[in-house]
Amino acid sequence: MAREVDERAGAPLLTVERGEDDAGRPLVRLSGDLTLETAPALWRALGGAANARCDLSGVRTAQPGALALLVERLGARAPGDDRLFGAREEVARVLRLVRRFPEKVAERPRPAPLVARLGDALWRFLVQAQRVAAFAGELVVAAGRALRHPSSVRWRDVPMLCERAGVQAAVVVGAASFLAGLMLAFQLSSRLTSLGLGSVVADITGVAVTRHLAPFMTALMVAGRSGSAIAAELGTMQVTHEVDGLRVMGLDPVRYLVFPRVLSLALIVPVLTAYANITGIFGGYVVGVVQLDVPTVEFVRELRASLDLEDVVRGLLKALIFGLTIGLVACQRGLDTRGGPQDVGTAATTAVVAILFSIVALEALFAAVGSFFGL
Amino acid sequence: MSADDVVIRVQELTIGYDRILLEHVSFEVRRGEVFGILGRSGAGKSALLRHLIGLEPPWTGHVWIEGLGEPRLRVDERPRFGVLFEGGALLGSLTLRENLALPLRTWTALDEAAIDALVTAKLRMIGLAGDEDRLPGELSSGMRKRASIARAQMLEPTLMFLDEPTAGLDPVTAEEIDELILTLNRNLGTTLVIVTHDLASILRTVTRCILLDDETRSIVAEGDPRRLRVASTDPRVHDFFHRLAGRVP
Ligand SMILES: Nc1ncnc2c1ncn2[C@@H]1O[C@H](COP(=O)(O)OP(=O)(O)OP(=O)(O)O)[C@@H](O)[C@H]1O
Ligand SMILES: [Mg+2]
Repeated sequence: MAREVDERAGAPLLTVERGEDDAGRPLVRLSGDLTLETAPALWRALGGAANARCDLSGVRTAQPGALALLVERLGARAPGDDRLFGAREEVARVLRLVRRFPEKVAERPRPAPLVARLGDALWRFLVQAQRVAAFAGELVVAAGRALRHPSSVRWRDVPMLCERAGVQAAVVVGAASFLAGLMLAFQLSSRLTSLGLGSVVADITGVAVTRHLAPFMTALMVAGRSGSAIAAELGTMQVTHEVDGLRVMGLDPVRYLVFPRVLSLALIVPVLTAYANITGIFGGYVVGVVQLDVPTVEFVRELRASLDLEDVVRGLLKALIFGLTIGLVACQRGLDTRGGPQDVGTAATTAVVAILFSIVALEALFAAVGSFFGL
Repeated sequence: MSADDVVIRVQELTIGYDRILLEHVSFEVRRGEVFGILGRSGAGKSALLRHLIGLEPPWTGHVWIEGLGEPRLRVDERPRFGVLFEGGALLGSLTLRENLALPLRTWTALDEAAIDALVTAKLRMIGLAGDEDRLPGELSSGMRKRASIARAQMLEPTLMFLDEPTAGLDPVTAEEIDELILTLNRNLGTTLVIVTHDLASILRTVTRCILLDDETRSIVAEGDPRRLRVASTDPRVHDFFHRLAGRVP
């Protein structure tokens, strides 16, 4: 008889022997333990054994999962099927369980003084900021682990999440950036005409949109749309104990839930920003043509002369950082939800406020760093 | 009862969140038991369970679980026990099949075809064959409970924790869940720790129990619930077993 042995030291052992009985019918003889550890070897060894009989007399212990796979491989699902034979009583009991077909069955707190409440709010803000920072650290650590176990990250959610964030924000991002470009150009137009410098509008909107307005407007819109949605989604999962459910299964919520979301925003915010660049500049162009009588050719020439690739790239890098920040803060606020459904709403709104604050703070930081290094 | 038979040992455990819920409680769970954690709503049963499985750190005292020591949930480590949360905690965005397949995909070397066969077999065992591709939100609460128990059982743990497995179910469905619990216990030798205040279910399944009291923040009774029900003279115990609205078989 051909023998296939699963020999992992220390693990429960199972021997699978395939051959024929006296009448020449295929026969499988099993001995050892039928467990989830030995089940993969059993499953492989019994490919194409659909009509075999199976001698279970050598089986010491059997778990329902492995036994169910055996039954499946042999096609011996009917409770009366006697092709599985020789089982000792404990094993037979589990076998009966596996082949059972159950019927389908269907005092209100007094408000604190105003100053105390302001102090409280400030304290909460600091605690939250500290938690977000700690969470960022956790993400870095988890990223290290994820590199070692790439399969523990749920990569397959990333395209869907990108699409969702992209579609959610596309229209408002385009419109908001267009209006921002339009507004900027309008504000400039009276000065520019009086100085006779109408075509400079292309120059100024080009640089302002690509370096500042487009990444900023995009981040604001994505924060409102996707940031709040992510915080609410993870908050709901937290209060319904779905997150705990992941943890007790040995899955890391950071890798399973947070990574795909942060990653998808880091990918999609620059893409949306590139598109916002176009609509923003178009806003400036509309003012240039309608209000300042700048010919299209001249607008394009000015734009090309003034706009470096570096401006655009720098804007997109900024967008990438905004995307990471939105994902990070939204996930942190979501996972920090405690209590019941009503706290999910609070999580979503505090997430948006925290994201908007972070983006404004980052924008200020970039400006300070930029001017310091003369960039 | 030899020391080998202790599966969980709780010593002088004090737990709480913003206030203390239980103080200096000690008890043991033995192999092969259906161990009940009883008490009125809000007594801290779920909180105690969360501490037993290591989701929350105790204020003081110790929990010890056989083969694990202090329970700490570690990611990247195959879980040693199964847990049913009060609401089921199935992942709402995954179908039933994907929910049940998740622990197998993560922790066994089975290929997709085998996982699929196994998930189908388990769903059949709990009477949910045919609902594989539904989302948890599309199931009744009894179906969700059964599916959650099946998910907790996927890796064939020898120890399981169930929080309110029968709460909010009609008596017939509750009885089916009790049957499932008894099957796990008697046929597979699983040790079960069950949080419940469903009297009928307690009398049917639980072999030994502790009764928590939120006023004294302690254990007020320990033993076989059938005996406690008739023999206890403590008014709190008597109240729990007699006044509590419950289905009595
Ligand atoms: N995360 C938490 N933070 C603060 N307090 C909590 C938390 N979880 C539970 N509590 C409090 O602990 C007490 C006990 O809660 P627990 O959920 O353990 O009750 P229970 O005995 O399981 O009740 P039930 O039978 O209704 O489920 C309650 O007063 C609850 O408000
Ligand atoms: Mg509870």
